[in-house]
Amino acid sequence: MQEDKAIIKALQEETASSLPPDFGERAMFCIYKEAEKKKKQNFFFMLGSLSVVSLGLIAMAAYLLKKYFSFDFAFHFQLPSLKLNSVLQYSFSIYIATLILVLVFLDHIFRTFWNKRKYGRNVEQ
Amino acid sequence: MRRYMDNQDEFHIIQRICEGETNLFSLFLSRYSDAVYSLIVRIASSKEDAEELTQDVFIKAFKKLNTFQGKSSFLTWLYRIAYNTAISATRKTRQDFSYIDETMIDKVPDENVDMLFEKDENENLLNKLQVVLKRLSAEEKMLIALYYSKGEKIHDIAGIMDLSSDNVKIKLYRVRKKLYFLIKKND
Repeated sequence: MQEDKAIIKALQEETASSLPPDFGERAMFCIYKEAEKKKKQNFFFMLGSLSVVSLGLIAMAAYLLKKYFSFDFAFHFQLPSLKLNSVLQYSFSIYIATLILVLVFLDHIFRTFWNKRKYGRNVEQ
Repeated sequence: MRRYMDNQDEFHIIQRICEGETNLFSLFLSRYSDAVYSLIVRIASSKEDAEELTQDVFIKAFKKLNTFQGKSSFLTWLYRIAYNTAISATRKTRQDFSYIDETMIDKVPDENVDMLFEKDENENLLNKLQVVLKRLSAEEKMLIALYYSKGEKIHDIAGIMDLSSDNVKIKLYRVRKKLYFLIKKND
């Protein structure tokens, strides 16, 4: 099939037209507009995600406070007296949280190192 | 090796564009806009439409840039977007192409087709070919242009047109026979 010289030549001889010289400029203008739109969309998505996560954290905090702490609202206009049932029962949670923080920090270090090696520059710059 | 290096460079540039360096996209525009336009102009109803569709292709490519995995060359990936964009556009507008009885095409012997198209010295044949090429459907024009004009491999055309490689081969044989049949019918 690739030896069909007649078809190849006929296609070559078909009226050739090219793009106007300012095509690239006009197309880039549209691309910049699209990039702006994308940026705005990402911003609103981030804002939405942050709101959802924040609300979730607040709800979780309220639930935990209600479940593990007791408030005394009996006396009006007085600061609530906070009673921690047991500090020891949270030690495991503190250990896990510390471990996560260490792992996140190590991930950041290795990721930066990997990106530097792969792209020859710091992608965060 | 050079092509491989080019693909690596392009992949690197794409990652930088995704990270916010939008101005680098102009490299792809200057490198590939003519190739995409010359493919689209074959099936678009006018040069202005082809220009607009080419712009649409690059905007779509920019939007989907983060989905490019580098499995094919960036140009092949662009051709895939161009094919889908151009075919959808032609479906919206009425295109006139010849209806031919499929059984008549099947009766055309392969040897006759091979003999007719193997030489490119016959000016009369070339003129007739240019006339009948216009009577092909949009998909057939794209297939012919990708294979003969752009020199894309069967495997890549299959990816561009979302077909199997065998299906592309069968379609190519049928289009050649169709061209032969149309030329002989006009004689």
